[in-house]
Amino acid sequence: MRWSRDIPALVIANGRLCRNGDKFAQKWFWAAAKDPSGDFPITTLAGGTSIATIEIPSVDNDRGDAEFCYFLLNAGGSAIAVQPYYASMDRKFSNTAIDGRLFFGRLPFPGGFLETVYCFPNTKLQFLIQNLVTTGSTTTSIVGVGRRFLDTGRERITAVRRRAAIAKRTHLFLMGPDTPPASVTAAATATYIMTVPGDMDFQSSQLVDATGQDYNVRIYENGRSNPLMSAEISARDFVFSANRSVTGFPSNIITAGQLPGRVCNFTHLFKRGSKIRVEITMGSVDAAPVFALRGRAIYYGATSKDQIANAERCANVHSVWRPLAERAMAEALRAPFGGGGFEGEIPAVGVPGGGT
Amino acid sequence: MLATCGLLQSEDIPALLPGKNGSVCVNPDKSLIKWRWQNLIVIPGSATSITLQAAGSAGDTGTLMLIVPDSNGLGDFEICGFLATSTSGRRFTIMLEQTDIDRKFMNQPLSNNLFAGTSLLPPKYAEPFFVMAQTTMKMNVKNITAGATNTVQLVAIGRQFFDRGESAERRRKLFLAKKTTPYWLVPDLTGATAADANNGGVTVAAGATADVLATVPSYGDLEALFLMDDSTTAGTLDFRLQIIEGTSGDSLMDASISGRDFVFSPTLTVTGFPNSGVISAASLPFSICGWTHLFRRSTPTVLRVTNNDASDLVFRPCFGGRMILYPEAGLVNPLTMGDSNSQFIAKTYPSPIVDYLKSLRKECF
Repeated sequence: MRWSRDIPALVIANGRLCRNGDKFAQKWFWAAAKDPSGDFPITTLAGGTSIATIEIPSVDNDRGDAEFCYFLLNAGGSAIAVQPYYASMDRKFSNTAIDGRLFFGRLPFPGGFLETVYCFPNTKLQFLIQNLVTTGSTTTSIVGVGRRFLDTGRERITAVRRRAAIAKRTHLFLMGPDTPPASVTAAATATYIMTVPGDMDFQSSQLVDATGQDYNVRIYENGRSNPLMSAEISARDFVFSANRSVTGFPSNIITAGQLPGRVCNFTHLFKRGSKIRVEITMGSVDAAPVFALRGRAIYYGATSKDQIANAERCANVHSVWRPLAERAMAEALRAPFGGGGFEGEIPAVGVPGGGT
Repeated sequence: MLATCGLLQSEDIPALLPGKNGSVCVNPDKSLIKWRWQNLIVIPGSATSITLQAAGSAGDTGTLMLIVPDSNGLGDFEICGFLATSTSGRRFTIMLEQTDIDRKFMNQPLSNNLFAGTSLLPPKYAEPFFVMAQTTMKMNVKNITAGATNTVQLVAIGRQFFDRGESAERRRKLFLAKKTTPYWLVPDLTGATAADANNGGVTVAAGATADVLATVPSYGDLEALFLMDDSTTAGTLDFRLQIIEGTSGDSLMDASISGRDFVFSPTLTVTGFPNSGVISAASLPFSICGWTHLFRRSTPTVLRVTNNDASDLVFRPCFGGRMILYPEAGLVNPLTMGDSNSQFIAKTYPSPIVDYLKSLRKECF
């Protein structure tokens, strides 16, 4: 996982280690996703949909922008699928509705994301919830965990940070099968296609699963031409942890979606518009496979001007600070991921707009 | 994750160094540190475990000491974790101090589940502990299990230094000049009922809402990395929590959210591959958030708890991280000697450790 830089609590000034006063410019933040009437948690009827919204309030009590490093879910054991959307920057975080267990996680194992989600005041982060249970309603709690910035008197820093957030061409993304998998008969083989949207490359770090049954899997990129596995291999044993039973409080199943980290020290880049083909041979029990690829989107910016203009309006980037903000934007484009990463890994993003 | 949290982890001594003409050679200095596991012992005597009587009975408390010897080449001890065992998973509380240099590591006794992990998943601390040769750490323990005895033992794990002379002195000076320590902030139990003192937490009645205060001491700010909990109830641990900073009134949560589901996780039993074991809260992923939070010194934080259970809740949370010390403001000078523990050291060890510390004090403060 790569977090945005923390504000250090200690700095060196005049050769001495001192507490950094700027550290108080950020606070921990837990934000609940509520329904339009403000209820939390929210109820979704059987087979129905609902929208849960994390609303970033206007600057209240000095608090401004929010940045989330992960999201947590409790659906009471029921299966739901979600599709998060940040309208202010027109950012979708998945190509389709993703099983909640793959997107979220629960403490102690929150889902591991490659990117944080940055939101401006007076904006909303929405989660379209699909209740996959056909009988009975589901009560869903979604909580974002992260930080809020205290921006009073810090307009210059705020403008730079916001502009950099707007300029960043990457964001959290999960890729699921284009068509939700139906149950696969034991020992039968099924094929699934994931289509990378045409306006982005997809850099994946992790294949995650919550099927709860063993199966063999083989993944190809570009349709069938490039297999990423030399043979079908056991999903349970080699690709991801299918499931682990956790007893005790809070009773839960830890799925691979909740495990931190990545399947490999290296990431894989799927090109825009390409098709990822996943072949699954089910094990000894009939089951509908539940899987997704987790990673980040790298946008090519066909609509970036509109997105940026809209985001600028939302973020209210003050023109006085535009030169500084422009510089921040340039830096963000040069090194959009900040620090971290694995030594020796080939960066997924080079020059702005480069690559096809 | 550690690096991005801005932690001050000690650097390892590299095993390999670049040699001449592009070659690589073994670093001879690497042999100056060795792994070290060390039992805490019962004083007086040398037993490595102590049996505590049932909570509320005479003998429900005890003291364990970590004594760092200065013999057979052994020197300073840097501790990265403490491991604990207790009878059948019964709980006890820990109050750890380094009285030689007046460092406290928690404001109130802390549940063992929050402090120590298991060998499979050792606890994670914001910073290592550093104990100079010939000095000690004192750990007061208290059984918080009603109606049953509890036999506990603790082991410190880390590395011990074998170097002497200038490099050892430089390390000690750096440590003594360091303005940070590992720290756990626990709800205030001052003035708590005897029942609360005996169960190591704050009792919140069934269906009730209570504001539980955790006050940062005056001698430093707390940079918190995580929030953990070891609460218990006869019910389903259904409680909601909201955290409000005392002076500003800023809530860190925009709604009262389920402590059980979203804030932290108490003890979990994990079965299946790769190993059966117990995950304690102390060994959970290190930071609850990608970023740290600074609680101001002398500031109370309100933990507003609503117990939705039909049973009483014993609320045992803590914030963990590191304390950024203000030696000039409220903290007793770290090298003040003369308390009972220092006297113990002075009597036990003939070497002039007290004078040595005092000489360093002049340079470091």
